[in-house]
Amino acid sequence: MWPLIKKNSILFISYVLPFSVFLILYWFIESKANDPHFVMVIYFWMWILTIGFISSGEQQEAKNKGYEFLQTLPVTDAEIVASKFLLTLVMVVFIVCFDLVLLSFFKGTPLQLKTILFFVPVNGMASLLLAGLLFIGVFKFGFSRMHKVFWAVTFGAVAVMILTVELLLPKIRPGLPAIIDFLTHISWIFRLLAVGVVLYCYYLMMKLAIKVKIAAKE
Amino acid sequence: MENKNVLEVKNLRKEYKEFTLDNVSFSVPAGYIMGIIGPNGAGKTTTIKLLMNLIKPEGGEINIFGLDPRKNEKEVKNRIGYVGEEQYFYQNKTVAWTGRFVSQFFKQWNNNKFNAFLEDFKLSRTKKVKELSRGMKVKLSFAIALSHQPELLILDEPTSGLDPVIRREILDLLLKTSREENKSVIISSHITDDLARIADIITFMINGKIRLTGEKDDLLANWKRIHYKKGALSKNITASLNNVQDQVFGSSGLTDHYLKIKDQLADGIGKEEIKVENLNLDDILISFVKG
Repeated sequence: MWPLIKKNSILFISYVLPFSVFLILYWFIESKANDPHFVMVIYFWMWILTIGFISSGEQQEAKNKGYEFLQTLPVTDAEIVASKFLLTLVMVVFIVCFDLVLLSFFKGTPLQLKTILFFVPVNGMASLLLAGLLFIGVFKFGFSRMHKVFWAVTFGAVAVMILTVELLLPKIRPGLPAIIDFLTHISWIFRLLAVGVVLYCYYLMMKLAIKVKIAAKE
Repeated sequence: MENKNVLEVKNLRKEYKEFTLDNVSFSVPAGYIMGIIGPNGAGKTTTIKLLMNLIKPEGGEINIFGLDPRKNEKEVKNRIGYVGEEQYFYQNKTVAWTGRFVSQFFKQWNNNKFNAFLEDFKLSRTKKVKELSRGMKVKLSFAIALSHQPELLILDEPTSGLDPVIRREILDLLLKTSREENKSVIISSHITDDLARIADIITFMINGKIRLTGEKDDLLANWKRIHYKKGALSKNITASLNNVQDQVFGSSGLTDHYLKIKDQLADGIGKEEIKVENLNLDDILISFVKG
């Protein structure tokens, strides 16, 4: 499985890292970096990066008929699928850590800082589940059918971001401190449990994706 | 040559909407080259995809090196060299990268051998795969297929669409590898000349079924066209002929058991009332297709 991860990690280096560098530059250049809008950008950037990462990888496989090539080698479908899931997990963990480090420079109110600490990992877990669903879709329907879904999800994420910032946030702002206060006081045991549940769901999604890929053989 | 079979296929079945591979059975002894001949759409590629576990069968058994390739995929594929009709590689990668990438999956990869093939085939290590011609891609496939010491080569129409020079080069390499290293080969093709040149066993496949399988020399010795004047053949022999046609000389028909009836034809041949014409694999294939 290692050669597969190594092959796909080139995409990680050529895709995720430049975006991360771009974000750092943006943070330095943007004078209003302390604006909560910037935090929202970072949240949704994680979703879009996950979708983009999977989409680019699958587009390459589809263009080169990579899966057909790999199937002629001594490698199982399970290894092919697992390598994709594992690398995506590494990518999401990397982005979560990267975001937390980047946002630690954020000079916000204590409430804003609490929000960041809570929502960045939550976003990471959501990205992971989204990735699992997208992979299952790709292995079930093929990338050529799924790429429209990728676009729809990307636009959907952007639309949700704009709506959240422009419409929802002003409306819930009065009650926001109480909500954040409640969420950020959730016990660490429950938080770790939530991470465990998400990772287990991701594992189950991977197993399902393997089954789907094997079943998709004509 | 050993007689142990490296590959055994029993009652293999695969259904598509408009095509069914039905009850296919054959075996390949160690060190033999088996050619699968058939027209387009006969089921050759489907059979090979099933052998390679690229598609799922609806029924039947496949046994390669005594193992079920579906349960022992990695071990079986480690011992197989495969060249498909289409060459799938990462197009933006170089020849050298492709070799390095593939080498990581095979237990017995021989890098010196791979480099020697690249040199023999005049394949530049720094060239990207997308810059290679179809012939060069086939050569790269062969370089990969032969560099990990496979015991069985599975080749699906590897020479189709290639110019005669490259075709001959590849067939000679195949023959040399099989004879010198005692490798078994399964090669499908609709170019019967290629198979006539290298195959020991020929299997004819028509409409998803195996119509005939046997040693090439036996087939060619038994399949003949017999031209005869009216009354020169006994009723039994006349009734056993296929594709009977009336011609200027008299009539003609095909027999698939010439060696059995040879003695009975001797008189007629002596009187020049019967003439026996050798057939090639194309003739046999056409006789099957035309029924």
